[in-house]
Amino acid sequence: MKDSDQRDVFKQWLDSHSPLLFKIARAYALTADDRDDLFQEISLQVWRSIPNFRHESAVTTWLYRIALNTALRWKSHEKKRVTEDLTLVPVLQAESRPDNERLDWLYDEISRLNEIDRSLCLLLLDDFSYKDMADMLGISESNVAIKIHRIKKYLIEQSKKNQHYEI
Amino acid sequence: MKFEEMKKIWNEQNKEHLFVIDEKLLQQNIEEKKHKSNTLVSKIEIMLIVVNIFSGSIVLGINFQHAANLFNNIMGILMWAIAVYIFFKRGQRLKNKNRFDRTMLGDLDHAIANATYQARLSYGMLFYCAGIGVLMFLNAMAENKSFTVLLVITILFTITIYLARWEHRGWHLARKKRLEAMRAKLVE
Repeated sequence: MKDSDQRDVFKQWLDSHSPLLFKIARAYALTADDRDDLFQEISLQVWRSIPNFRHESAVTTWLYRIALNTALRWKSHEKKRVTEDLTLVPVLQAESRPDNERLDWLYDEISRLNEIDRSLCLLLLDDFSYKDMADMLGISESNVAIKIHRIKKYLIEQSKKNQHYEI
Repeated sequence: MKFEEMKKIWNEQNKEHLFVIDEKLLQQNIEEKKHKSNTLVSKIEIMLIVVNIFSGSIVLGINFQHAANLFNNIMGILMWAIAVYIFFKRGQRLKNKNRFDRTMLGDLDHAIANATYQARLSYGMLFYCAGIGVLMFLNAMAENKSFTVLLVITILFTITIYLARWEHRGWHLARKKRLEAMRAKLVE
């Protein structure tokens, strides 16, 4: 694949699907610096994956898989600072938006889940079917169902404890 | 609150523009990161290959010109063998560089296989360092070198082995264990 073609596909994917990548970066990275770093790492892996994309799955599914796999193996900025020379230039500029306490609460609870359950929770909230999740994760549908049941139960219990957020 | 309500909260963000991306800068950073990660591993491999071939050839060359010394011969051959091994492993790494597995489990297995390879390599390097240290020590003894030389060899190789062990445990082994724990969470 030519470099220019790869660049075009990347730009097109980024224009159409960047919110998906933001969501994953926000769920796996807690600080703004980390979020930027993870977003760049995901972007790099997405860029590298382009020649391997064979249109066997939807672009969203492909991007979700690349982004989740990258997020799972990504290590935080603080841990990296100890061993690597970091010259990170931020590429994300946060838009001013009204506070959304309920959404912040939801992200907060998602970040308390373990890395694997976090992936499943994001897929669930973005309406992927159990079959899609099982295909993406490489585990059985029944295993997905058990984990999802546990995640839902946890989130509902947490929401009861946080009534003051109007949740 | 029911889970369906949480979904509604989640979907609210789809209507909002959370961030603006500096696409030009992102592209530049991607190129830089790509280059950096590729060249770092490559540089280490090439350096190890060149250093081992160079040192091995010098050791064998000197031994060929002067009276044969068994310890030096073994050391030279060992250095050459390590260079060939790293060259072979580098080929395998480059072949699998852009491999993307279909599932998260497959990808984790791939990552664990890589981490295992790196952990084994670093563990192997520990024994390699120890082996070279012992051979140098025996060689120095065979050539009746002074006590100071023997002491310097011992101290230098002890420090090297200690650092290599620290790197092996704190870095490669820790990463492998972290990935294996994640895999266990996925399939539990």
